[in-house]
Amino acid sequence: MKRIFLIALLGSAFPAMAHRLPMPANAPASYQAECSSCHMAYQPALLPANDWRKLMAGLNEHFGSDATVDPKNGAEINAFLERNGGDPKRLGSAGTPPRITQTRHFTHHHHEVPPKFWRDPRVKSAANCEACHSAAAKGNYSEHDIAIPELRE
Amino acid sequence: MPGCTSCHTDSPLNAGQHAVTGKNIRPLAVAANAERFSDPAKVEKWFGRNCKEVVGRACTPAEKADFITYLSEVR
Repeated sequence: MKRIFLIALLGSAFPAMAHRLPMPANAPASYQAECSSCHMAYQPALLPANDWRKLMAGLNEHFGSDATVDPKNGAEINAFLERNGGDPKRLGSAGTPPRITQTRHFTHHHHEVPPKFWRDPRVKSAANCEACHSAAAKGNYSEHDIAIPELRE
Repeated sequence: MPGCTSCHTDSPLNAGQHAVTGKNIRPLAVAANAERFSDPAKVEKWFGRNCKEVVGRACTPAEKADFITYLSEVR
């Protein structure tokens, strides 16, 4: 019991630590260059390797856009994502096509966000992590750093 | 089908926003973004993607030349 209390206390003392998700240091330059022109270069731990594989196989119709990359960059990005994909048990199913925002991990952390926040023109899409988590690309998803004050709860 | 303005606004001198993801997009005009058209491979990649999505086919070399000329000169 004492131990559980201590763990809970530590958790509340360092809440930001629970929301740190750094980009692996071995990320190839192509990952940033190719993926972050339309959206943030999501940390690979946000989807299991198997889902990244499915996404990479369908880049010609990537959520309504042609996001094909040349074969050399494609192979490099594939290898990086497969090496650093997240734990499927912890993340939960991402659906078809796989979406980070459909994983249990994501919905669990965002269930209190009202629909009107997602529709806010500054947010536009749940794919736009940086609208609220301004340092998301650096791996900081702490709820204490939500960028839009009136969306902070 | 989206138009150029869906993501890039009605002025190439303005920063835009990806129509789906909300990601910020730097201006198309060279006057507002000196990096534009400086990397030929990148230019071809985006003509390939965006012509297909916006015009529904590949752009012709003359169309690409007109587009780059306009955006290099617009102020």
